[in-house]
Amino acid sequence: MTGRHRLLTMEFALPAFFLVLTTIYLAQTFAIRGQSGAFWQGPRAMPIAASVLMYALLLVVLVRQVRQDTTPDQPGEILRPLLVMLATGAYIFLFQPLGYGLSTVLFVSALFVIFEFRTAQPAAFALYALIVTATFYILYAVIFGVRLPQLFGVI
Amino acid sequence: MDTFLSYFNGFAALTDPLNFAMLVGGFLIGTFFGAMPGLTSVLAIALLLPVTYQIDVVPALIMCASIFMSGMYSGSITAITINIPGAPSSMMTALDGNKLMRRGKGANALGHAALGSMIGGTLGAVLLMAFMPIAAKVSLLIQTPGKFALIFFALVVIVIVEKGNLAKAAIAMLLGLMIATIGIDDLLSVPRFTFGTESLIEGIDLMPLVIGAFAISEILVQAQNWRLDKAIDLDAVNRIKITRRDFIPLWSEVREIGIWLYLKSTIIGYLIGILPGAGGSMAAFVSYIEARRSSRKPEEYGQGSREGIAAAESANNAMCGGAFVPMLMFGIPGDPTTAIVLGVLVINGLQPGARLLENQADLISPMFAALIVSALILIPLTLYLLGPLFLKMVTISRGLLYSGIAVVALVGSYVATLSVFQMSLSLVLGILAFYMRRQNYSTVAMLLGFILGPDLEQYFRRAMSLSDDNPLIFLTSPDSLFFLLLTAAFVYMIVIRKPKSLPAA
Repeated sequence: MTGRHRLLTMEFALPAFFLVLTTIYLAQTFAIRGQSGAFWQGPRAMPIAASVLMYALLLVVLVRQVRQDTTPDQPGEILRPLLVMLATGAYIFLFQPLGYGLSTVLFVSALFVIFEFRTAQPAAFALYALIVTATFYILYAVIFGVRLPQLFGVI
Repeated sequence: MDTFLSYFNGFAALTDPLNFAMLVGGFLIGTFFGAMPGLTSVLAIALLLPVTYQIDVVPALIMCASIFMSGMYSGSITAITINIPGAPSSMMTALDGNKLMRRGKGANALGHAALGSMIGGTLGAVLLMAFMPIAAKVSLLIQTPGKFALIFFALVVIVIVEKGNLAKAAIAMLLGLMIATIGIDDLLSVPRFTFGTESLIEGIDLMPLVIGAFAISEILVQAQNWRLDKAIDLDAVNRIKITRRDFIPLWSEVREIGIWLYLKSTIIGYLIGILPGAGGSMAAFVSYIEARRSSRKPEEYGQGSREGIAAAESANNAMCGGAFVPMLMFGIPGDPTTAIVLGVLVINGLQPGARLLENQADLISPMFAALIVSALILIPLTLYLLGPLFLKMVTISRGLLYSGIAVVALVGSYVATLSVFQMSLSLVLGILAFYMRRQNYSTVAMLLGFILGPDLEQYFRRAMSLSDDNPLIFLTSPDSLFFLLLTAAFVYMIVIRKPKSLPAA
């Protein structure tokens, strides 16, 4: 892999993300009010110390990555986790508007498709999706009495 | 005397039908999650965390204890039968257990694993109960600078046990510490890192972090490894034929292993349990190495040694008792499971420390009793009754399993606060944890940094306030100096000194 391409891999992307996160964090540290004259007793002390330490450690990790000749192969695929992330994001977005019942059936169905569970048997597929949805409805709404979001007053 | 009376009452509390149901239910859940490759008892307790908002603290703690004990033991089931440890703590058991399995002695190996777990788990819990009053007295002697140094020691140990990834473990720990600073500052009541949003004023709750780091990230990891997992030979599992009588170890084999080995491994496991971040894997590893070193038949280790199984399993279950000592007395969890148990305590308004045993022993004693009953009775009983079924667990469809876990995790993070924000936070932290795990950043270090960070900061600032901003207070205070020297000693022993190697498989 060429040097430029290696910089785009996760080995560099994650530390780079932490670097950005730490910079935002450090910038926000100076917006904290209530810092008195005694620096180490104030609310900024620990965040500043943590940020400085974080920069030093990220530098160590990045330098090590650059010195490595090759990028280790990551086993497994990346599309399936991405689909799980998208399905989960959609579930959270639709959880209140659609209610627990419908949104969960859709979410479970999406996961069944992603994990290739009974996709060739539509009746079993639908039955299992309903069973999973109903099981956790009974657990949370019936046993623990939690008010789950509803669609038109139904589950 | 009062303490021991409360311990007795703890056993009596287990006769309550709800508590008993939680004990047995937790044990079976822990066994299932521990035995299934890809699922862990940590995941089971993480999923239980939202449920603890809905039930009383005593049944919640009983359930946590039985999940912890059973999860630690049941990893050996798949480690022995299909050479895939259900939990990382069963790696050493797989070395010898699967060799015995291939010789047609699988049930015997499972029996020895259960016996080791039973002895280690029971004695570990007894040691916990015996030393808790002493630990409570010691905890009262530690002053503010000493408390800072103790937490600093814990964080350093959490990082250095991640040998080979020290910088990444430290980054993960600092990340957890940084996340913990979000919200109102405890000492001055000023908001920090809220970015003008009200949702962050109260800070980030433990639950979305636990659900994200241990449930959502696990589902994403399993999705990533989907094709690789399909390589597991399920037909081989279906071909295994075991009868109940085969599970009972022969007395001659137990005598050959020797009671001293069980005791020694238990003590090693218990002491390693007290160390923050070390966990069952290290307990099993150190105990296994020591057993091989002192064995009359070291050449059998890695080739189907029953001593090896007994040493590893006694130690990892004894670790359960040890891990509770620093958590209950100092608020320092030894591993992710006790970190989540700490969360259960805090959710219910209980603060770790000497006063916990003094004033609320009736709440924590049933948890100790649950550890003992799980180890002493439920481990051998369930192996005997359900052993043949345990082997079939790996044949359950992963697609169905992970879909169910995803629903429990997400709806669980909703029900605790009835907030979609918590669900979103769980997802964001889960995605972050997934990418961290891909790059070998320890999510356990992140969790423990998150839990210990606020105390570290609080005691540091208080100590500096006592000394007018003079950091020498950490060297002039005897308890603080002791923990700083202990930190240096551990850094020398674990990082600088030459490590021992793994036995050949």
